[in-house]
Amino acid sequence: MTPLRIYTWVLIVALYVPIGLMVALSFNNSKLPYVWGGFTLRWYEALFGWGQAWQALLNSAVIALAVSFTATLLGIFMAYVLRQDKYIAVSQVAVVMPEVSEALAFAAVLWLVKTYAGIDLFGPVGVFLAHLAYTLPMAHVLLAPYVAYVSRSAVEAARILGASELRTMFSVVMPILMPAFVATFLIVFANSFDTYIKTAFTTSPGFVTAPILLWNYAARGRGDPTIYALATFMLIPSLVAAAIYFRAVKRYG
Amino acid sequence: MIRRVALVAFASVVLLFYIPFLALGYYVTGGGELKMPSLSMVTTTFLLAALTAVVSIAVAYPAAYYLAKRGSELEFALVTAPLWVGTLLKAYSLLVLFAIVKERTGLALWGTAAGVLLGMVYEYVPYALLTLYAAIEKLSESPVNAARVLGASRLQAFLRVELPLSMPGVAAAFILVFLFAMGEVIMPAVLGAWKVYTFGSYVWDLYFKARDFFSGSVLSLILAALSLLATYMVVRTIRSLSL
Repeated sequence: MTPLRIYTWVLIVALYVPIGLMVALSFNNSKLPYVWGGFTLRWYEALFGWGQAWQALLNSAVIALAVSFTATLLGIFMAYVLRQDKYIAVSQVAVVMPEVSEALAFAAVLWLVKTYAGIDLFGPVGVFLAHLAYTLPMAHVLLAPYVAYVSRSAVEAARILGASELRTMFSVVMPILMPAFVATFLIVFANSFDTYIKTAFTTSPGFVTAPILLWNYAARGRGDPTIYALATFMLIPSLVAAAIYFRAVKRYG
Repeated sequence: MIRRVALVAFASVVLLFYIPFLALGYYVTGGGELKMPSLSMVTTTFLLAALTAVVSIAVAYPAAYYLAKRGSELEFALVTAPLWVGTLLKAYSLLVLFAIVKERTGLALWGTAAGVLLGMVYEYVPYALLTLYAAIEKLSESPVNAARVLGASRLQAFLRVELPLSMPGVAAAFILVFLFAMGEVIMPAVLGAWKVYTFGSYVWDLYFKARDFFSGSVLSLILAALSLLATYMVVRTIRSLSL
């Protein structure tokens, strides 16, 4: 097993090298990625002074927060009530659907609404709805395994003792599902914050999110290290999510 | 009350996720001139997606095997955490890495199919790993023990007993990665510098450059149908696994 263990660790290191390198280079006092010019914070200073980047990070954060809250809350209800395989399958299919197909379909709807109803939803509303469309089934699928931890007897006891259905949901079911709620919330947040394709198809030129800004540079080449600093900032939600996720899920043993 | 909230939520999944595909149908019935992608581009996409799946599985299998048998929680967490990082960030970090590789070794990866393949493998290894892990973890120890008692070496027991038993997992991982890779846009665009042209990039250009909803809708629906079919196959192979 030892060689396999070494192999696994080599793989782990390989998975983190590109991202780690980019983070390290955001502190590099040289414009060239292959020259180490010493430690600096000047790219971060440049980033702080770059209004558009702040606006983009803020836009992403607001959308991700709204999306993850709505999707996870509704997802809990869905996972708790709709336990049959057929319902989960509907969400499962949505999770593995190729992104371009899904994004184009959403853009098509927004075009139809714009053409026939005269309502232009491209922009924050379109992005919010498009993100909700894919995170809702995602939350459902992620939460589904955890509802088994809510025992029937606990729910029945609460009901017999006179708690209403809603009260039972909030005082018995929700606390048991809390770690799963937190974990799912974080995954959805990180995902929505980072997602590019669905945003690109549904946004308007006036509403720029962090991935859109990054794409504008990445699709043309590297750009200067200020972009590394931006990308490093964009990693924060993912890192926080990953760190808390494993702790939250562990509580189910 | 709770049931009602759940049903409303479920209805919004259908409404927000599935109804848009009807809009694609609307554009398809609207008619137009179908701009079919060139054959070479379809071939590139298929080859790239198939290679991505094969390489990802080959890279992930030993690690998945180790994690399923002896892995610690930390190792598992470290392997799956990259799933949380967005594709665009991964693509961009590889772009930086490629620049360094080029300067140090003279090996140009940016704008080549090899670079795109590397990027897609980087992205999909954790997916392949999780699928394989789930399949290997479910395997019972007794067939291996039986083989060992009957005189098979450790390697023989693995090759002739465990590997065949884990094949449904391999098939599931292949279909999953292949499917994701077929619709991939970001890696070919960022790492291929638009020189490595794939199906995903084509649909992308139909919308952003040509505003051709008709062709875009037809191709998207084909991709979606393929995905449905593949999902159905994955579900079936995974079910047969538990038998």
